[in-house]
Amino acid sequence: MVKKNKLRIFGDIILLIITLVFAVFLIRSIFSSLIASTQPFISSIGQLEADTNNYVLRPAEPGSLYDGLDFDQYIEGQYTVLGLGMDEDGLNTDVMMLFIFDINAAKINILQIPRDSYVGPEFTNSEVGKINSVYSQGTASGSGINKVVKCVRDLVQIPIDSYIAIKCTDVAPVVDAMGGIPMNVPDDIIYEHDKIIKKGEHVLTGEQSEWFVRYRHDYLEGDIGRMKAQRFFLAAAFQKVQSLGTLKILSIYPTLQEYIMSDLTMDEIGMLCDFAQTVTMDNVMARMIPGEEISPGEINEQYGWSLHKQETADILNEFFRPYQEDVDADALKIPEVKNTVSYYENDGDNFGDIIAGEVDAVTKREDANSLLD
Amino acid sequence: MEIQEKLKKIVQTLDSKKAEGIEVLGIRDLTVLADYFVIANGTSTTHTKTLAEEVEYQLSQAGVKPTRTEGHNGSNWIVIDYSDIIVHVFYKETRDFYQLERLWADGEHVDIDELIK
Repeated sequence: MVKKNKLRIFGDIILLIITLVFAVFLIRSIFSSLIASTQPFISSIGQLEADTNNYVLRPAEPGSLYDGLDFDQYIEGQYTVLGLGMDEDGLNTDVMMLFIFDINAAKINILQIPRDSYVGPEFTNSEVGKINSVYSQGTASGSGINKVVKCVRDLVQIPIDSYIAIKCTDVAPVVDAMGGIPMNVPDDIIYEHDKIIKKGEHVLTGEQSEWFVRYRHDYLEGDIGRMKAQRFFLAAAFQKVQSLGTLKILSIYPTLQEYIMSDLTMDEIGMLCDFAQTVTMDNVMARMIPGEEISPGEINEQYGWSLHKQETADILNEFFRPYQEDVDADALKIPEVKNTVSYYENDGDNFGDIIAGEVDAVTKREDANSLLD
Repeated sequence: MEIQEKLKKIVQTLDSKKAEGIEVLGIRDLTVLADYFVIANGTSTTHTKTLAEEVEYQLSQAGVKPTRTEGHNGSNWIVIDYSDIIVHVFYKETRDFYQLERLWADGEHVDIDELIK
């Protein structure tokens, strides 16, 4: 009796193992065929949840917005990608940019959001309340990337179709795979005493690119200065993408897949590269979301950045809603801490001007390190 | 034209024009981009351009047209896309710079002697 039971148990275990092995094989083959048919980047940080907000479009002739591209997009004619630069630990989003590809007009508008922007307890559990903490400490449900996407979308009331994220330490291998970035460096970059890029024409290596995009210490405006400097890098990188072309970008796919986190499929990357070829440098603009510095004691004990609600509404309506109806400042979920600046500076740079050398280098502090001639 | 036949034609054409370092990588299991990469280089920019033109000419004689090509202007890296096969013709230094073979190290190395025969 005992023996028989033992045998039965043994048989059950064998059956279980066989079933498990089959299940694993089945799941693996389903997954590999899924990967083969869509081929996303790592997407270790996941897919975006559907956006159920209602975006009101300006009246247009039926079919006039159709852009002919096979994208899943919230607004026909436009494709919106949230670009994130993460710190080394992948916890804070220290670079945040919203790319609006206006496909019908062959334009790209980039909205830069300072990492210290105060978004408060509605969006983050971090006591400091800054937007760069939303990824790891956001109040919204869902994955980190969904917390950030929901936050940005609520602040600006623009739907987000996809994201591209990269850790600062992974910029180097991607730039190296692209063959470096030719750039007219606008000013000396003294990142560390033995990590220096001199002003002038260079092909930036991956390592130098990391220094350039992270360098901040010597800028008068610190973080804000760095964001302005990053426009020079973006313009040069955009030019490199154009000169490589779609097939060559796709040919370095193994590197992109290893270091870039995105929900874009290979087809979509190809379409965006194709689109990039049609855009002239003069039609790419990077603008900073309007705001001003917060000093310790004004909202908490930290320095920060207060967004300006009305000015942000104005800049968004003027430049970032090619097909949307204007949205009132009241509809933007921006917690404005202070607004003491009575002027409105249209703080933006055109990539054509940057490449032509018509944009001044970012202002440095008076006591900034400098090279001896 | 069958894919193997096409592959043979491309490799033979490159070989007949003295292309250096012809390599065929099977990448079907790695990407939706193509089934094969053919990588080769010329010894000068003129040689590189000639190699690409000859591949396009020989295949067009067999009725096969590329879906797209890129890089004819610079001539340091020319890509000819036949959908299932993508041909990369480099100028030597540019090839060393990008090292595509290293990026696609997981690809299957196809014996080209068999294809040249």
